[in-house]
Order: sequence, then structure tokens, then C-alpha cells
Amino acid sequence: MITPTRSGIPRKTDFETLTAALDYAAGAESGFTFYSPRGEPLSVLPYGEMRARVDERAMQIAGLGLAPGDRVAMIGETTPDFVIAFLAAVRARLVPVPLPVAGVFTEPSRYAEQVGRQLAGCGARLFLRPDGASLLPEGADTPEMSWSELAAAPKGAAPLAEPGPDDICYLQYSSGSTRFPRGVAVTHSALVRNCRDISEAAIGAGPDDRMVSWLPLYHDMGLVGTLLAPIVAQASVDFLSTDTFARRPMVWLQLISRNRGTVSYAPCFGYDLVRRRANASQIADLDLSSWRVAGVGAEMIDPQVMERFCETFAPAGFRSEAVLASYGLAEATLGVTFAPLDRGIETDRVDPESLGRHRRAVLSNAPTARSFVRCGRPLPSQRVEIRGPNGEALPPRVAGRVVISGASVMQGYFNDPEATAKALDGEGWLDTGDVGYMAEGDLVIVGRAKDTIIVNGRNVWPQDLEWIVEQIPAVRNQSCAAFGIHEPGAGERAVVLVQSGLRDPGERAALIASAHRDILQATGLDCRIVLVPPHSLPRTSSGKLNRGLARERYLAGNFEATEADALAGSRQAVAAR
Amino acid sequence: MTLETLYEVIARVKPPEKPLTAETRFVDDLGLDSLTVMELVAEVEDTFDINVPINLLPEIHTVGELAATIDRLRSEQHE
Repeated sequence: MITPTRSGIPRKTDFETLTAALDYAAGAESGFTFYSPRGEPLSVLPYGEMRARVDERAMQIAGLGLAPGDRVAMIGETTPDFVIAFLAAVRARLVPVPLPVAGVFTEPSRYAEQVGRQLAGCGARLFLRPDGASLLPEGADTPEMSWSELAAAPKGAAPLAEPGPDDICYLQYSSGSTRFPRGVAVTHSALVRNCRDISEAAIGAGPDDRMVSWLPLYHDMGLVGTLLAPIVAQASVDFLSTDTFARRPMVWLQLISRNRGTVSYAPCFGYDLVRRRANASQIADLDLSSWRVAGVGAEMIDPQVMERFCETFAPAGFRSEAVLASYGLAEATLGVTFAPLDRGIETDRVDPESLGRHRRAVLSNAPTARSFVRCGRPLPSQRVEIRGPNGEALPPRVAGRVVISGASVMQGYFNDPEATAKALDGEGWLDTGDVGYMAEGDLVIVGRAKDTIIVNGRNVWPQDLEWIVEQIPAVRNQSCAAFGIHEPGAGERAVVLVQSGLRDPGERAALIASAHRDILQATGLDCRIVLVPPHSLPRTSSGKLNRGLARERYLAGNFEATEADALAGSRQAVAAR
Repeated sequence: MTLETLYEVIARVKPPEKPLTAETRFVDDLGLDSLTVMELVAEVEDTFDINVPINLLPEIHTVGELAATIDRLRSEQHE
């Protein structure tokens, strides 16, 4: 049993709040279906049943004595339990805060520490988690309940006051380091406006649309794009867990094929992973002709990766025009710009020299030209400008900082006036931290000024990698610089520069090996470790590490590894213990 | 028996530089990143016809430990 694709009611997307959208969707036959790691349906949650369970759970949460606006942190796993708890907290006028599911590699104690920091960061008054062992670190005093414990709790007083459009709907913590978390406060009005724009303007959703998703629900792309926007448009969604996708990526495409899915998003790495794991007989069994929107975003889009995906799955009926590039970020709820439908990936080939030196995107057909993906036009409620170093608006084809404003842009980070003041100017323009230019009305992103590294679709914060390496006794504090480099056709790779005065090649090799191993163990990432001389990392006038400049110098060849180090680097995986 | 089959599965996912033993470590010796680990899990599930709960993974460091887990899951899941 799965939910039907057609909702059976007139489609409507103009709501004032998420709760109003859920109330309307409750009359539909459509809803969510959750699948097992082998792609079999596990449970269905039609919108009518969803609202009934949400109402009941909201009264149970209300019985716990929390005040409106209190934060309820919860593990954002891909299950009906999380969906119900999230929506119930919203209905009870509390503020849900989705937290990451434990990584495959993460040691339980490290994960507990991470959860503890997030709970402290948002001042959570309640922590909800899957059944089983406690996930709290020692000494944490946030009250903790499992999904089942909450489901068995007594009901509080009804009726409940409804949330209003200007109330905070939830906090999104996908922006900011795990060590220094920053939560975007998303209001009901910002959310429903962005959901409506995405459904109507970006993908032109219709009655026969069915979404398939494996994106994590604790990230904005999964939460807004594949959970909340479908509620606002009464669309059916087939959910796979992210773990399932990592284990068996082909289950994603098999579900689209079997259920006649029409809309599915993924970061570029997802398209790459499924292509690499697909074998000929599996491809022969697929029919991807129903897939009309293959959304791609959330990280720099590599045109080569998307091209290879299209070639590989063309025999299964995949149309390359279905690929839809987009640009978005949590600070804008989710979506900012979308490419036009049915055009596929469109690139701008520009001269790297003019871009690097003069920030001018001059079209070029030379073999040295760099291809950037056109990410399309702003959604109706978003405005985009490109600004120069002094805040001046830049003309088309001149690269600068991408700033945005509009009804879906955040009013601030939760409880963090300092970070908010840095990100937003007095007129509500948000500095995205990304660098791009406009071309014929399309936004083209050329790089991220923010230090975030995105590897395999995951945000990795340089501070986290630096911190891991700085725990090695031979490495001093403040002596590492981590950043991402783009390897064409292969995605992004994390590089960590480590200052070291060691001379003995054996000791140097051992240090490289330990740093590599510690990062691999803690994060599952295969980083490149490069030893650099003491005091060689660039710093700002206030002594702060300048990662951007360190990265530029590395790319310019200023930090070449010695031959012995390079050998050690290439053998990092084979630990020298 | 399990160990021998497991060596073959691992070699399919990532050919090792040195011969595999029960003491070979997935991260330190084989340098598996998190995505390759997930691919290995899927291969193990298919080969041995078991489901490997994800929450067991942080506890498994060596090839021998994985083989023991496979044996335990097989007896639990094929009773």
C-alpha cells in the first residue's frame, strides 16, 4: 500500500501558516509513504491521518507544561515519528529544532557531545529522539523523551491557540559549524511563501506530480523541499532514508521508475554516486521517462557530473532536459533561484583569467575556459543583487557578493544578534557569502566566500577539521587551515594545511598519517594533509586565520609538499603506526 | 568460512594493498571513507542475506569483528 498520486481535492498553495496548510491537506487522499532499505513500503501516512495524529500529539506535548516559543529539539530521522513530532510541536506553538541523525562513523560519545552543544545552542526545553538508549551527553539536563514515551504521554488541555504568520515555525541549524551552531529562525509566512514559490513558479507542480526523496530531513533541502513544500501543495512523497541511499543508491531510481515519480532533488554528489554504483542490468530494468524535474542544488553544480548522469541513464528513458539547476540556502528558507523548466543544464563558459583578475565573466570558447552552471532567475518573492567590495551594485557579468532580500529571507539567527548583524544589513539584505554574477537575468555562482567545505553533499566546517588535527600532541592550537578545493569531475576535496617544524621525514610521514586517520575516523572524510612551515599560514591584522587566502596560496602552488611528504600523503590511508 | 567470503566481498569493493586478515582495520588499514563503508554494508547484506543495523557500525573496526557480527546476525535473522 502506498499513497495515491492524485490528491482528489483542488490544489491550493496560498496559506498563511503551515498549520493551515496541513488542515487543508487533511482532506486529500495523498500523503507520505516510507520505504525500507530494500525499497519496500514500510508505512503510509496519508495527510488526513497525519493531521489526526499531529493534533493528538500536540495535545500530549501541550500537557508537558512548555510555554509558546519554547524550543523542542528532535532527531530529524526519516520516519513518521519525526514528521508527527515536528508538526505537533508547530501546532502546539512550540519551535521544533531538527537535529542530525548520527553519522555512520560517529562514535556514540562524540555524537552525544554534538547533540549536547546543539541543545545548549538553541536552549531546548525538551529533546525528542528515537526509541532506545539515551543520546544525551553526561551532565546534560534537558528533559529527554523517546517517540514512544511521548506517544504514551497524557493529553493536556485543548483547544490550542493557532500559530500566526509571524510566529517562528522552526529553527534550521544547517548553517554554521557543529562546534559553533547557528540556527536560522524560519517564520510561518517565510516558509509558506517559499513553499508556494517552489511548487508554483519553480517546478509548476500539477495533479500528477509525485515526489521521491532520500534527502536528510534535518537539512533545509530535505525539510522544506521534500517534506513541507509537498504538504503545502498536497502532493504525495515517497521517502527513503539517507542511509538507504548511501547503501543502495539505485533504490532511489527504482522507486521513481516503479511509482512513476516526477519530481526528485539531490545535490550533485547524489547523481554522481548513483551513476557510479549502477550496473547495466539494473539500468535496463529502469523506466525514468516520468521524471520531469531532476532538481540539483545545495552545492556547486559540476556540469560534467550531470552530463555523465544523463548519458548513463538516457537508455532508461531519462531526459537530460529534466535536470533543473537551482540556488538556495537556509537563510532564505530554501529556494532563491531556479533555472527554467525543461531546458536541462545550461552553462556559461568564461575566461578564467578575466574572472580571477578583474571579476569580469567574459565568454570564451578557449580550451582553458571554465564552465559555470546558470542557476536561473529569482523566485517571485526573492530579489538578488550582486555587490562590490564597497556595497555598490555591480552590472551584469561582473562577479561580486550575492545578496538577497524578500519575504522568505530570515529576520535573523536565533538568539545570536552578533551573527545576525553580520549577515543582514539595515534594509534586510542578506549577504549569502557566495560569489557570483548575473547574466541575462540568470544567477551564476562562481564560488563560495564562506569557509564551508561541501564534500559528498555534506557541509563540513573547517573549524571542525582543524580542531581534530589540533588534538594531536605534536600540533599546536591555531596552526591548521582547512578548506575545500574543487577537483573537476570528482567534486570537492577537503585540504588541511598543518604548520609543523618537524624535519625528520619519518616523523613528518607519521604526523600526516595520524592527521589523516583522525579525520577519517571522526568524519569519514578522506582529506589531503599538507605540512607547511611554522608561521606560514596567512592571518588577518587581528591575528585571525585567513582561510580564503591560505586556499588561494595553496592553489597557486605556494605550499607544495616535499617529495617525501607527497609519498606519505599518497599512502596516508596505510597508517604508519 | 565467513571470513573467506568476506575477504572476497571486501576485495570487490576496494582491492586491498596487503593481504587481508581478521585484524585488518577498515579505516586505518584499508582507508575506507564513509560512502565506501556503506557500499560494503550493502554487499555484505546481499552476500550473506542479512540486514545490518546502521547503529552497529561505530563498534566494528576490524574485518574479524565484522565477520563475527555477520555470524551473529545470520543466526538471529535466519532462525
